[in-house]
Amino acid sequence: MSLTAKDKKMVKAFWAKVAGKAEDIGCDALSRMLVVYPQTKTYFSHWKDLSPGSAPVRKHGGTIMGGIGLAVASIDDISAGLLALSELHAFQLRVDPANFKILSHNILVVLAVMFPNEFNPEAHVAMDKFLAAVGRALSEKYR
Amino acid sequence: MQRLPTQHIHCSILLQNRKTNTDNMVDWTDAEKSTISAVWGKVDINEVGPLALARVLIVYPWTQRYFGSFGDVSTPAAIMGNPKVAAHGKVVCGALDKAVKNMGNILATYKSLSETHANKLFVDPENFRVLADVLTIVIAAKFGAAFTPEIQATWQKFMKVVVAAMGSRYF
Repeated sequence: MSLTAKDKKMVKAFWAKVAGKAEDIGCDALSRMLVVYPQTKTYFSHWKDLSPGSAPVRKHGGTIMGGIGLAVASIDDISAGLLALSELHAFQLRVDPANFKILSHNILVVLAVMFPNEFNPEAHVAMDKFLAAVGRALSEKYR
Repeated sequence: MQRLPTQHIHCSILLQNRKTNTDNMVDWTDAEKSTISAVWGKVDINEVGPLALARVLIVYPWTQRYFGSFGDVSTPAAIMGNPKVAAHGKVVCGALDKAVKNMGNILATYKSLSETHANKLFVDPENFRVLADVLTIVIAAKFGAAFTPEIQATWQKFMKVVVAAMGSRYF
């Protein structure tokens, strides 16, 4: 399920509309993930405060969206663009790749909450495919 | 103190269930029950049903395999405007109403629907998960920030039980 030229165009156009709110998006998506899928909290046992919108959640949400922005900029070769991030997740963080799908779902929920008109079905399919491609790229170095 | 043999404990639990008519798939708290009812109460099936089913067919085009008789589903615009898709979206969403009204009994409530999907319609149960996720997104778009993380958690727990019940008769 690789990204078509149409998908890439749609992702870039949609990202241009929403990138200004990237930190809010990341913060909300991460907040939701930690509440709706409590098993994901196991990766953040070193944080003082895991509640929605807390300082570490906001900061890390911003970091994650930075990675998403990098993937958009590297959309013609996401694996190459995310090589260093893949190595980080594979060898240091060792986040189970199943969690990429979970976070992706929560990003889509936040896009729907914050951009109900722009996040139409065509944008939804392009972003879903894109986030799946990002998950695959991050998983590349795992084994 | 003499310990009851496990069989006797099991039987007494079954008898309790029969009395209260629940399948105890999950024990909802009062807060969860009222959240689910409140969310569902604000959902117009005639609006959300068609939107959710159309979005499933657009975002996961292989799901169109089940709708060969529905006419033109060749483009997102065709799907969004297709009256058979809209009508069927209302049917599917309408069936969720049964779960909301029988929250303690979802497994039994969906027994025959699950059998129909397994043995007559031959629907892959993965599609129940897909529809649940898309429905959650459509509801999120409708509610906006009012669809808080806590409400999302309760709603998704409810969807998980519905999905499990719909998959329960696949052998």
